[in-house]
Amino acid sequence: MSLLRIRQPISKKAATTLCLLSIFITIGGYLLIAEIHHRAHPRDQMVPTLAMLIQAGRTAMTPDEFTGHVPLWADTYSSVRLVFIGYSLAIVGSLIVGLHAGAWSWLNALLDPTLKFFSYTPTMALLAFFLMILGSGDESKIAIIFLATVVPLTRSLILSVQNVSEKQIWKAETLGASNLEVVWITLRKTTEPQFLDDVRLLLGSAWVYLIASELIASQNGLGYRISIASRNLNVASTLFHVLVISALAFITDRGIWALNKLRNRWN
Amino acid sequence: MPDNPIVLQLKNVTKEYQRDGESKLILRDINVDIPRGELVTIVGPSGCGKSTLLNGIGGFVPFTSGTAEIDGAPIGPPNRDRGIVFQDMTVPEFLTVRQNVALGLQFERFSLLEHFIPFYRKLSLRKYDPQVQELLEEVGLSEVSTSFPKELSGGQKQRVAIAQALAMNPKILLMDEPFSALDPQTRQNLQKLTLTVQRKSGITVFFVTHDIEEAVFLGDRILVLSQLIEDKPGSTIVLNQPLNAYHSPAAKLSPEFQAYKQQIWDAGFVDRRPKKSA
Repeated sequence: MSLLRIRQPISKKAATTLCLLSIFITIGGYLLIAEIHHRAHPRDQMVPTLAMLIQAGRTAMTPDEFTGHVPLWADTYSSVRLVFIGYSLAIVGSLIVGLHAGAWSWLNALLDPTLKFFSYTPTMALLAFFLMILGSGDESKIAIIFLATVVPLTRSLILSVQNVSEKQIWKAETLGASNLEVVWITLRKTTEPQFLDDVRLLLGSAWVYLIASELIASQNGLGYRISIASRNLNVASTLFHVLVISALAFITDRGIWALNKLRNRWN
Repeated sequence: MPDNPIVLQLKNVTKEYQRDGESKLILRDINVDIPRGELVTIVGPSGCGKSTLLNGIGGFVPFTSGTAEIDGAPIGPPNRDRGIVFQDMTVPEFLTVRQNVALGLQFERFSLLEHFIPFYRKLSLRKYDPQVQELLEEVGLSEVSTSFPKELSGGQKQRVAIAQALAMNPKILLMDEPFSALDPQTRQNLQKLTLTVQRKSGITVFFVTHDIEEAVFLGDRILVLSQLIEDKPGSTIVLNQPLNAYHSPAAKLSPEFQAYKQQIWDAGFVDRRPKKSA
């Protein structure tokens, strides 16, 4: 049968249908199980139904009676801000270090032990350290996000740069490119599609580290809201906020994907 | 243009590679003068050091000993004195054909900062438009000037590489088996293009090939390298053929062309290794 042939291509229509089917099965399956569970145990809140999730969403969007802020917006703003700052610093840092360390072997030899050390260190274990030296404010969370993502981004970029054929570099040099032009034009542009893919794939990690640190030490943010909800055994609110985080990560992922397509039509 | 009729001079050039503690001699005592404005082909069997010689002249890999000079100045790291066309279609994939041809001109005159400002990039492209257009027409790429290299055939990519290198007006154009990976028809078209462009621009070309027919068809002068045998002197033979002697496809059929090919075969391709007794 042709479907069993390895790498047998499928039509776009079939791909879309299968994609929708998998979403439908996951969501539909969950809602069906929740509904059955709810009918069997009407007082149980552990497997929230669609109605309970909608109610949790409404509560999250009801303005606070003292401050007048909508909790969902305030939490989303707080979390997105931290991810944005921490991750942007990691992207810029890895771009600068990765491009140069990939280009110059001596710089790579110098940085390699440090990068390897941090890549094997569980970043979350450093949260206590950051809390002590940076306090429980935004700085420690930004530091965690930065450290957790800058190392894999940099290591991957160094590998990509090292994989660029030396002939590409020689070619640029014979066209009169300076060292910095080779690095910032030839090597950066050649590795950009892979780098943007790495940025896209590691975005999930940035969110994981933010939420984890918000669960431990925070006064606001989506992770903080999840920790409050779980303390009150409010599974519906927990799940609702998880879905919000997933939606935010998905939108950003697609955004970076589209940016990559737009900037690198040549690839 | 300087008066010196010799653009590239190699004196006792030797190249030795160190691998796993062992040294391997690739080139030994190469002495050759490349006259200005000629198309010199370098031909020899695999492993005779043709590409190593080209890489040394390009400044990509240093020679172990000997001197190599361009216009009397010792060869240094790669720069715009020496244009290059590699075999494996090495043109920046992230630029369109037009941008690729203009790249060297932009490197020459624009700072890195200006490369990052789209306004300047567009402005500089427009500035070089007439020059770029002329080159595109010369190599037959005007129709695909806005395409990216991935949309081009192998032959078209090599045309881009030739135009890109020519735009810099280098003192010598190094070509490392540029047409080896192409089909026979495309190869023949590009050989003709190389001859036309070289005659028109008067550029000196150092053309490496393993194909004897290509070497005879293109070369004003042919440098035959033979495989280096330990304890035996390497042979470097320069054959001069009268300019324009065999540069027409019809000439390939002439007995002289065939005799010339045989002469090259005898000079460089006959196995010179000591025969093992049975």
